[in-house]
Amino acid sequence: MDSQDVITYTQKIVKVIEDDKTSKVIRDENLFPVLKYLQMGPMTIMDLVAFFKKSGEEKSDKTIYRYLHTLIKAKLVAKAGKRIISITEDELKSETLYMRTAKAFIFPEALKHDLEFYEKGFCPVFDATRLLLKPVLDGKTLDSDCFQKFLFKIDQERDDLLVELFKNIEDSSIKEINELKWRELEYCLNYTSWAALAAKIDMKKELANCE
Amino acid sequence: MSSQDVITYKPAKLIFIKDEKKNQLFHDENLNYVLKFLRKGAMTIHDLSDSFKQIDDEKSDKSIYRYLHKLIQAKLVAKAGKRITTKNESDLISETLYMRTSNAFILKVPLANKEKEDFHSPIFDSMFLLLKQQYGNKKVGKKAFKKFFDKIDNERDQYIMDLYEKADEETMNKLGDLEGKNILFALDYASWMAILLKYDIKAELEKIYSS
Repeated sequence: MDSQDVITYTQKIVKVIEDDKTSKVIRDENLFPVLKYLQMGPMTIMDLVAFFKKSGEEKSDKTIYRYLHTLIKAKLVAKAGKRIISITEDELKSETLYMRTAKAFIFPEALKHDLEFYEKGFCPVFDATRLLLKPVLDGKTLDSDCFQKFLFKIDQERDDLLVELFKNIEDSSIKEINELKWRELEYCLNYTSWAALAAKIDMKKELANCE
Repeated sequence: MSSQDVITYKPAKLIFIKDEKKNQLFHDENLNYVLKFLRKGAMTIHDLSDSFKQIDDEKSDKSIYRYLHKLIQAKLVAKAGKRITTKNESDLISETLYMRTSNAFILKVPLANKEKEDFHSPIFDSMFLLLKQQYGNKKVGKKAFKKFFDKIDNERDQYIMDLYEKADEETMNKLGDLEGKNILFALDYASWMAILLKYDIKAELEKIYSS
């Protein structure tokens, strides 16, 4: 029995998840392992069934099909190609191969989901942040408009920096990072983006501009 | 029919949730609703059942009791007092009032086990891999890196508590207008900005990656 995989889909390196619905799909307990297994490469439904079985969970192919359907709708997984198998001289089977649409999925701050704020150009969270900072600024209050602009800017910059970091990373590193659980990943991205931002801006100077 | 609420419990301003099991409770949709409803103040089981009805979700008293029991066990909710109601001259009822143990719960990802000298932390390892691109692409300094961010993590928690503690009336009012998750965002932003004001993270990381 000879078989060959044919892949016609091009996978992205990073994909930024910007809406709440998609991030919920990723967080789903059942769907998350599918994404994790698919890190190893394109797989058929039967491959996935075998991986679940190995981890001690029995899932029917029907169930896996349903998971994949949800993931495809959320654009996290794609039908990437076919596995062609020669069974006998007159029998040829073809099975669909599934693939992650990107090697790494990253999530900007969940705040982004309140897109309303972004459209209005005013975010009450940022305003509360401005007031909270008073004690570390010796009681000084910063200008609201200026601070809003600054925070919208650094929010965008943090996301851009993350995308940049993921674009240039080695495959082995992506694998290690993707081992993190959902909440650990969130934590990691939060810290990484702030640390990356710290290299780019001088916070003292920026805030002095808003005094 | 006249009634009066008697509250004998005093909630904490801010509670950090580090326990993984407790963290899990926040993923439960029903428990989350109960915590959300209780933001408005102390409530009886009947108040809660009305709140569920308002979002078109019928819940029996028994179910709500079960939710509360779980939340009390996790110390997220407390029996805070009683509502005394006079029905008529010979009929007095008293109902238990439930309250959140804090206005703000900060969910923390349990970090590495600090007791071990060379602690293993997949989160910090991932951050190290991501940030090394920005700081010289070396493989050294992993240990110092973890130590540094562990310190930052603790200081950030301290800032979150301090800034919340020191918030004046204007700030508290502004925070009060925000939804629960957005209060946490504001604290997250403020604490990070305070850290970036205090530390030259760029210089610290350059030192670490070249050590």
